[in-house]
Amino acid sequence: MVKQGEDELAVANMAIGAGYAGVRSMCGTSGGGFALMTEAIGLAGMIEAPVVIVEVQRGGPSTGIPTKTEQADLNQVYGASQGDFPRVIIAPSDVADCYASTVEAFNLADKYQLPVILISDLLLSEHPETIEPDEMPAEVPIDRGALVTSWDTAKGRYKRYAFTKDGVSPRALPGTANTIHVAPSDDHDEEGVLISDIFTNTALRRKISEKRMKKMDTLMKDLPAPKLEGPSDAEVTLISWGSSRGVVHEAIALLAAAGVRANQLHFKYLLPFHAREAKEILSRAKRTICIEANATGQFARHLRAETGFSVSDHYLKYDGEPFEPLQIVDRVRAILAGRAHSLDVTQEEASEIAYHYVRVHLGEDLRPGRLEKAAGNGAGEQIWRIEIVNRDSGEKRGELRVGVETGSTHSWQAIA
Amino acid sequence: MATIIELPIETFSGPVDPDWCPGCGDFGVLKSVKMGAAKAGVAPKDLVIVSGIGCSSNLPGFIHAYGVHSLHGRAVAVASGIHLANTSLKVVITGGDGDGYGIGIGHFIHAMRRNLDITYVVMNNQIYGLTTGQASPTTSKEMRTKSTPRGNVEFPINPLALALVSGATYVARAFSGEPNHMADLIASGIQHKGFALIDVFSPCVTYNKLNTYQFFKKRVYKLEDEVGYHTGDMRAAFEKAFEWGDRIPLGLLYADQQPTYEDSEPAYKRGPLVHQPLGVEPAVFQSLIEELM
Repeated sequence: MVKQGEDELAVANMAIGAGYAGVRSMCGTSGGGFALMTEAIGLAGMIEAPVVIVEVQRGGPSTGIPTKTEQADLNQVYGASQGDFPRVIIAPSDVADCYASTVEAFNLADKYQLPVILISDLLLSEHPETIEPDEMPAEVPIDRGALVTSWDTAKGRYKRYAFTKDGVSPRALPGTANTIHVAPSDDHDEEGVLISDIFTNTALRRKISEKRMKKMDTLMKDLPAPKLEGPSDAEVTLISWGSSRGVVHEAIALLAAAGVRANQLHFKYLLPFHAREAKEILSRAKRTICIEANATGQFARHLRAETGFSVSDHYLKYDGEPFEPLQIVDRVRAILAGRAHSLDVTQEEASEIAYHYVRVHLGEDLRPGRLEKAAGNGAGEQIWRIEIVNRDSGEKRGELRVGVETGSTHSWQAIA
Repeated sequence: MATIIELPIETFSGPVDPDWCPGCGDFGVLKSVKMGAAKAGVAPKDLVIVSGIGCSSNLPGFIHAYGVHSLHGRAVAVASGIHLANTSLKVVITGGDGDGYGIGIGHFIHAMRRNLDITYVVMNNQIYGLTTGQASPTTSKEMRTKSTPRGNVEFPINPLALALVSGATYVARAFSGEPNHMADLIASGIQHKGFALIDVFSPCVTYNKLNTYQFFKKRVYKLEDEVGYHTGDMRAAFEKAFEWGDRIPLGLLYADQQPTYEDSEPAYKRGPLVHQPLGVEPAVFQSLIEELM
């Protein structure tokens, strides 16, 4: 059953209500919509309801570049909702993995009674890929976890949030006899009775918090650890996550052909994080470059937070376009050669900036022509001098000046 | 129609006693919800009470039934999800005016547009009680409250009129001073096929010194006592929805039978969603693959 709700607030809360009632439910959105789902994610964590939420990252911030790709919502997804509560964050790497990760997400959500977030991106959502039929099987493993379908009252009162050693409590669905309980967003005891209305019970609060968080340790056994792919004596280790897996893998083959030995450490499970395995692998890396599509190195920061390991270098791409293998090859070689990365506007980029100015202000019959770098003459930086010419005749109509360092459009001078 | 077996009200005695202020209108609503469910013959295991945040939203903890005490303004959304997952349960939303007509107003309107077969009991005390006395969406104009020390300047929400224009098919008003009357409205609302709203004057004895029991006792009258009033007449219902002064109507303003959201969902042909087996038939899977290629 598929329903379109009025907003992401409704949709997240409806999915959680459905999960509480025992149906497998999922909702999806992009960065802005996920922001609206944030509070509900904490609700799912607190009432221990299964739900699968898909966040498809696109160029931010705010409305951003909605038809372009990016990997800049990791911070948001990691930080989603106030307080400490168990949740799983999985970043699928290709089309077949989107399918497999969804099957896995539903099983994890049911088994551990918590929200599972699939963090994907526009590139994954919108690119076509050829896969083998057996990568999308009709029959998949289904694990509903510890569902209680009947309760013998001789065992005493049913406790929805029983403090168990592994953190997972037997779960009864509404409609079941003898297991009546309320699922509260307030903190509560084993039976769901609030613990803070008269005075807060510190002992119960501590123990229930530990019960919930214990799920993170328990579920770790279900998540495969990241593996190093490629020669173990590589001179550089490329670190990737999400949709960049394939392009980095391809870049490594091209690097090898150019005489550069590289290997790849790709991450799919962002939370809980395989800190021990990651540290062990990275301790043997000669040099590390973290490749990700955002401006601030969100994954590198996450890696450092989880392991204490700081990467040697970054390749950050935030122009809205997906990585290309040769871009990765060039950047890796530049880094290894010690060439500092320049943020200056390239000739190609200057032309693009000029195209934008032409479309907005001048008219479709014009286009950028010859470009040359020149001294700023009062602009405060070097400039690109770009001739703007008639598309058909090539006749010069004027000159645009764009800053090499800032990319600012300094001036437009039409020929009289 | 199946015979309804009424249950004794003790069936619904909750695990914990309410901690509302003595005299709070919500005590009357709690009793009426229990009586209403009992009259409608709903067993505790098939009843799900969903609330948001506020004094009135503490209600699920005080009744023997399933429940979700959810987030401020989100009870209607959570309840919608529970209902769509298991249409064999009776879902009753209980919350306040701040929760339901303020932060929750979007979900309120859209649930009525869908005519989902759920029941919404709003404890409307025209104030934010739990947070100690700020003006709520239904606070009267000019009333002085903690957040409006020089008088409220905002036009109050009219929940009954909003319900009428949004497609609700059972629109009623009750008063904590008349719990039996309220219980009947709740029972009928639960039994009604479609969205049922029962807006309840549930006085906050601590923070609303204007809309008190005395205020309402002087003004309320029952529509069932009004000769010639027809609950199928939308225009008449609107007039009653706007009646606020010396006389304030209680009772069923409007009721209609319309297709529910669930009526149009083919998945329900095979019963409640939660009872259906997981997995997909190979032929269906194959047709989906072909469609997506």
